[in-house]
Amino acid sequence: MDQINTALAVVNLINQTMPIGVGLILRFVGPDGTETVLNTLDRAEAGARANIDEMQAHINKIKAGQ
Amino acid sequence: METVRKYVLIRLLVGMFVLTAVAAKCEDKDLKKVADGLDDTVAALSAAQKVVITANTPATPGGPKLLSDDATIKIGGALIRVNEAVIKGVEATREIAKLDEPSRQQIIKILDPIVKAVGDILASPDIAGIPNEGTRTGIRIAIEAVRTNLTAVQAAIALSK
Repeated sequence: MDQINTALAVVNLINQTMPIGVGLILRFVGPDGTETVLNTLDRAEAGARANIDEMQAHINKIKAGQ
Repeated sequence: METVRKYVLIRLLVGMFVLTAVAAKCEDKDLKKVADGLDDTVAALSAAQKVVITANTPATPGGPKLLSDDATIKIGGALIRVNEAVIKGVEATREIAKLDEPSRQQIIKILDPIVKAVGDILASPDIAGIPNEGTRTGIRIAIEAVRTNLTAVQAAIALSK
């Protein structure tokens, strides 16, 4: 009976944690091993925000010097 | 004992079903092309900005600038607006699970003004008025690369039909 309870506990644990873990992995690596859409979009957004900061800082520098 | 076996089997099947559902939700090839295109556009914008900033920075302290401060502010401001529009495109794409007709129209509606904005920068007197030919050509090529990447995103959307 103890063995059955242990087996059930293990199956329950796997069922509860596996989708979360795999979901997290698939957030960044797709099922075929490539980068996911969300990860690419995250990088694009971060890059665009960095671009804005860089350009704005240069414009501010020009205006401060004028 | 038979009941326990059935219970274990059912729990395993439920787990596998959830896994399959998570995997299926994550990928859409057409959507990936759009995301890649937006990412490439951001990289091209970064390169274009660096060309503009370098042209506005004198080679030696107090030396001449290949691009005037006024032209840099105008071109740089326009590039900032293109970056902001790309962020809107990213946000809209993030909400989409599959590139169907309504979501396709939604992205087109966001992309078209960006492409026009980049075209306007290229046609603006701020670029045409750059006295140094090498600088003018360099900036034009860098901004043209931004347009090329945006066009690739538009093509990916059109071909996904």
